[in-house]
Amino acid sequence: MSRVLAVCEQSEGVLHPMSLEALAAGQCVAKALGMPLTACLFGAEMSEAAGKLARYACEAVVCLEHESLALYTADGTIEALAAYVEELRPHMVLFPHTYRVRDFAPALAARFGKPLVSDVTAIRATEAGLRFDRPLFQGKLRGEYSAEGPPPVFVSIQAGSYRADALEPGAPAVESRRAAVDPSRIRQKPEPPFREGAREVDLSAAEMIVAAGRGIHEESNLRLVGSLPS
Amino acid sequence: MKILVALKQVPARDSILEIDSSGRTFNHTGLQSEINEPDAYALEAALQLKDQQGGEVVVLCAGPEEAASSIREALAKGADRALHVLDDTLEEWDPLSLARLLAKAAETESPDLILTGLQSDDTGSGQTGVLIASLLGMAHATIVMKIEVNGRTLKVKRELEGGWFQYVSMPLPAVLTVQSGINKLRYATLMGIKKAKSKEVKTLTSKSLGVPAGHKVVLERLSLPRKSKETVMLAGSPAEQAAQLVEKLKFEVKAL
Repeated sequence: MSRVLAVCEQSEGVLHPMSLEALAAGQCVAKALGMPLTACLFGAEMSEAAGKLARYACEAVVCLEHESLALYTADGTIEALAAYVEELRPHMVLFPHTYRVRDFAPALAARFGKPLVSDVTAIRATEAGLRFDRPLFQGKLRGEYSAEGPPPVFVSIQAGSYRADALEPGAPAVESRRAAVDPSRIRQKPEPPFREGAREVDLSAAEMIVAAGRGIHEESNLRLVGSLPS
Repeated sequence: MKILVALKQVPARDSILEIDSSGRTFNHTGLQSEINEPDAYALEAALQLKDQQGGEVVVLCAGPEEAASSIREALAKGADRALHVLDDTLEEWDPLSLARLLAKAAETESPDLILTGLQSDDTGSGQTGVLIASLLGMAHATIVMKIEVNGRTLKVKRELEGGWFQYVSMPLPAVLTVQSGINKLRYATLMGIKKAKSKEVKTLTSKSLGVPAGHKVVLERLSLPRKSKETVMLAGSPAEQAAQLVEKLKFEVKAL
């Protein structure tokens, strides 16, 4: 049976928050198409991330595991996912539009002779078929796209387009599989990720921001600020 | 080392776009064009590599006749020669067929390194570089901040999300998509502008390259995003107001 596949993202077991939004898009599309939804993750050790996904309604959470996927590489990811998509033959493959997805999803879709419909803000079922909305000219215009030809359709979902807090709860089974990756074919040799100097703090990535101003009066009161996030 | 830079001509960033009567494109008359900004940084990165290590920088641009002005600008800045895939219909091509066209043209040059911007300011698909690599069987890296070439190996600094970075090595030939702002763009000198006039620009076509247009993803309709000025008073306790504000910033204006 044809299905919708939501490819989610994790790093060192931590689920990327946009993964839940891709799953939410998956639930909406699967419902509109009357198809089951499968979620999948790829990496080396991801039981914690899989556990988080498994709180929501879908048929299964599939973990594609391989030690060579511990540090992300485009080649390893494309190979692992291409084999899985080939086997699953889904109707649609959804991704969160993350930096990582931009790095591998176009090439994955190309393996199936398809362009990726990237940065999509809404998927709508119309009489003429599915329509994908995406911004153009840096948001000055909005384009409404259709995808032609046989499935699968590959779509990446823009942040904030589908709501993680609207996810329908569920208790799908978590299934671990060995990913089909030949490490000798991975050409990128990644080093561990690092952060740059303290000035390079990315506020947009903070889980919580506590701001304090002159009203704090004394340095000793800063302790109060430190205690607020907990 | 031969470096190929794939660049696109796009409407200038401050252009006011009017959707035409077909509803599928916009009125091009009177619009100023420029080199797609991330591609301009890719060109600069290529010129800097050439300054350090020697070699040749070849510009590849697919677009209508008007794209010649962007090609001349790149040549004036120091690119050695250019390939212009001349076509008026590329706006309708899907990203994969467009990448096939560029890959086929790039293949004729057997470059060691292909650089391009991470995405275009017009359609913003952000796929061209990754697809060219995939079609030519080359390794790739995206959102590149720094490039070091050591013999036949490449080491690049990639930008990850949330203030994280990563070094990745890979063999040449490879394709890199470059982040905007990674270097200081040079101006074309008067001498450069003069020299550019005599530099070779080879014209190719989709027909001569044997790549047909692809329409697997089709733009059905263009519209203007809804713009409205609306004042909403948030009610409730400070905590409730804050929650409503976060909700609006996150899902209505997508600022968070």
